[in-house]
Amino acid sequence: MIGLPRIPGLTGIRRKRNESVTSDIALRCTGVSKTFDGTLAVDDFDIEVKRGQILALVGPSGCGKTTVLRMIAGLEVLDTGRIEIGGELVASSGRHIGPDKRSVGIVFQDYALFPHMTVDGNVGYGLERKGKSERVEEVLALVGLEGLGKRLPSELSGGQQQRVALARTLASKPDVLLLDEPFSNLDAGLRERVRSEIREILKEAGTTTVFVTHDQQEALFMGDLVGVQVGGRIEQVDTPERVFHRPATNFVARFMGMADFLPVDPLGNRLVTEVGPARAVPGFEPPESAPLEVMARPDDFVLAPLEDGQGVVISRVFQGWAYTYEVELNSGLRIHCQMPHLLTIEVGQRVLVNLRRDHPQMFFSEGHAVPEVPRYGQA
Amino acid sequence: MNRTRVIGEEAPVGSGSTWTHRRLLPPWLRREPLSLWLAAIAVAGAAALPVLYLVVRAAESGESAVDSIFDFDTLAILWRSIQLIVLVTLGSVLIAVPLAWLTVRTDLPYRRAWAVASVLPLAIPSYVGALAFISAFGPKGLLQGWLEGPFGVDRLPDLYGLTGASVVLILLSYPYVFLTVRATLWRLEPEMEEASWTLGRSPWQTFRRVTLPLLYPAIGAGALLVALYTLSDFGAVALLQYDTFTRVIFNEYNSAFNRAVAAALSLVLLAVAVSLILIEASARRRARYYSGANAARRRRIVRLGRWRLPAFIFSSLVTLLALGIPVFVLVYWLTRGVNAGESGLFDWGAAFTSVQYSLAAAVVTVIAAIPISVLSVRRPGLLSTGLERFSYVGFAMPGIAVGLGLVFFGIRYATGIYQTVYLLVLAYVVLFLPVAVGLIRSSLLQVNPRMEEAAMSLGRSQINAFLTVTVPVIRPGLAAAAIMVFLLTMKELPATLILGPIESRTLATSIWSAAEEAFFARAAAPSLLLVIASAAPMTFLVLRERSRN
Repeated sequence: MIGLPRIPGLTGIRRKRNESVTSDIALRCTGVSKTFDGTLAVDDFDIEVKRGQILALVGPSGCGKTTVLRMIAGLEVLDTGRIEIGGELVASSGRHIGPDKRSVGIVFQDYALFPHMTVDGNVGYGLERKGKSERVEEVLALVGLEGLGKRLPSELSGGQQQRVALARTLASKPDVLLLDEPFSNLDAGLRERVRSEIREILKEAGTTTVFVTHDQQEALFMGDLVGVQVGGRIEQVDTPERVFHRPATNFVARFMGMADFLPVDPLGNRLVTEVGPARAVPGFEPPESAPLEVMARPDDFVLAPLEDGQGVVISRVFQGWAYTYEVELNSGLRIHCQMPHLLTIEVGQRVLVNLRRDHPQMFFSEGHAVPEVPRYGQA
Repeated sequence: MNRTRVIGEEAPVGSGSTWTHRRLLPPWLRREPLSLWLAAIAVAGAAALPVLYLVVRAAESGESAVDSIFDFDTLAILWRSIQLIVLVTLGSVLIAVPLAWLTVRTDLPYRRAWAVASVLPLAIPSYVGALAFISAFGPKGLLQGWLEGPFGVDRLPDLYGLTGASVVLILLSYPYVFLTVRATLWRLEPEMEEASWTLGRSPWQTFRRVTLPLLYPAIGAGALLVALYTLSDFGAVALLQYDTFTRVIFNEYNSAFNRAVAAALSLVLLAVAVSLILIEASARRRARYYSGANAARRRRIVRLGRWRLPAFIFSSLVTLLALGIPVFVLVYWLTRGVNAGESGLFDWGAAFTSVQYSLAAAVVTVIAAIPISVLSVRRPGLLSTGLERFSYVGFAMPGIAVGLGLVFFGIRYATGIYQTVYLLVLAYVVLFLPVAVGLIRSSLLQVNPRMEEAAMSLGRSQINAFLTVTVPVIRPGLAAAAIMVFLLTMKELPATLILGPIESRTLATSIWSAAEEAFFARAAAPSLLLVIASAAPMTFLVLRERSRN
């Protein structure tokens, strides 16, 4: 299934169920909280998704992202806060519109296809009788499963089952589509192909989507917006590029990719670290008294074997195109450096470590970026 | 259950609950000892014996047997049996499905207590249940006695016949459907229903179009058990005087000594049982769903709201009728007998005989079940599957038919053991082999065969490896099988009546003769003992299921 058929006339799918709503925001959660058995699963959760956008919620397992999804779908009742879909309030404390009355579709992690119905039966399940078969055909074509309508779910491959689940949800043109770890049941090889197919389908259908994953690569690839969640809270929401390159917090920096933090000594206008001076954006002003750290990704370092260098290589991982070295600095701090495979340094070898100075680095103080990066980017 | 895993290519993916046993050993090691095959064949042959001799006996009478089937009121008997089966099966489903749903998915008060109480009627033998109902609601029964004084009621609606038999059998056999439906409800993935809700379907539409269809296989399996139970029941229909196959066969054999007719009717009975099994099997083939491999997580509990009280009343009523009334009646008669100072209320000799027979049956049946179970799990193939099928004869064959078949065999070829305990125990083995094979098979399926291979690579012989490694691991399965066979034997009536040594009395037969004479006080103590003895392990099993969930 490479290259999806473009179906003319599918623009109807863009039309929203509720035409009278003019709001540009398809989904808005404000201060949503949820407690399970005394533990706070979701804490003061805020998010805004514009029509047609894909929001990827990413976070370590147990961070409450699936609970957020289930509250949006109406499968869990929130404790406090508000959820609006297409400008209509569907949940607040004291108000709960049932899942069957919300224009929300959810694709479950294990698809939850009805095993006693054919593909047609599954896809048409939520539709009115009138025009059902045309719509089923239309959506099956959209997901590239023409001609498989008479099969039972058990007769399909994992990837096909997933597309049936997606088709079933898209069929009734929900205002918001929710995907819960949709690729976790697929083989690694299949996963990359399927996710680009799904992204194309979603963009084709123009559906507002919230997508939950614990895989950073997946979030960066799928999302128009990436929301990083930890401990039930949103740490940062922004474009994939900005979340990666301009993390708002220490946690986001570490979670989205390998990152080391080195203490910085501001000496006049120089920012000195154990591995040499760091470069900041012009006009950077270090905080008056708080400790300052510079963030460095593995490709921000340069290593060279040197007998009186300030670090020693303690491990080496071969990754084909590169080596990743773990280096212990004289201060005891351990950093990770990626170097091209052309140069091989043995474990135990002393090395000279320097920061690349071809681009400005990010600085952090007490867990937050300096200068401050807004938690909610203007995407 | 212990489940041991090793890291390797055979580690099960997905369901993770059973081991596949193919392609583990090189072919030259793959052979089981010949003795195991011979033992399995012998057991399967023994299980087939009653059918064989029913056929032989019927065939010998030649045309007269065929004629007797047509002359006799066979069609009328068949029609009565079918009516009873349909009523009992429908009634059981109508009681069991709501009850199972209420106890698994709602905030019904005390739902765990109801879950246990709803299974316990299985502990009541049908003749005890029928006896209790006759005593409570029959002519000159307890209810009528109470109503006579204040209200002058001297007649209650007639209990005998189809009405009474179906009510009693529904109340005693609905737990089969309850258990199968409950197990499926536990396994059902909550996402199925959630998906339906998010697709805009109301809770009621979701139940009708998603939940209920997913329960059909479980309802079908439970209904088959109920139908077979009804078809093979002898005690209740005999006491309630409803002429189905079993009662007519017994009367022809016992009173009229018309053995050709009894044999021919037994074959018809067997044919009906087999058709029931085939109907269910074909229904299941059409509806073979995968069951959720993922253990269900958070489960939504349905708030009953104003339906809570009606649901509570419904559950109470079922338990009151199916469990409360029999136990109350038995206790009532026992205390009355004790207060009146009657002697011989409890027949210790009969109890001792029952325990002896049941122990023998349990030990022999479990040993007999091992070869077939091992071969069918470890060497799936044409022969072992065929042998396994043979062992299921007792599943389809009512006790009365097994008894008769062995009577013919004993009279003709084995006069030495006819009317001895040996032939009786053989009957029990044939009847309860399916239960033992089922339980032992499922525990064997959870044993990693690599453990035995490891033992063999450490120098043990195959038999030694099996005895020192596999047997200890499947011991819970063996114990469960022995306990089940023991309890079933304690309760078994028709085969014991037909094949029991002359002058020997068991609890079941002494209850039976007391019931036939309406000597309720004498039936009460052994009945209570049987009920309590079966209820204890059943409670344990249900509670264990609960703690697993």
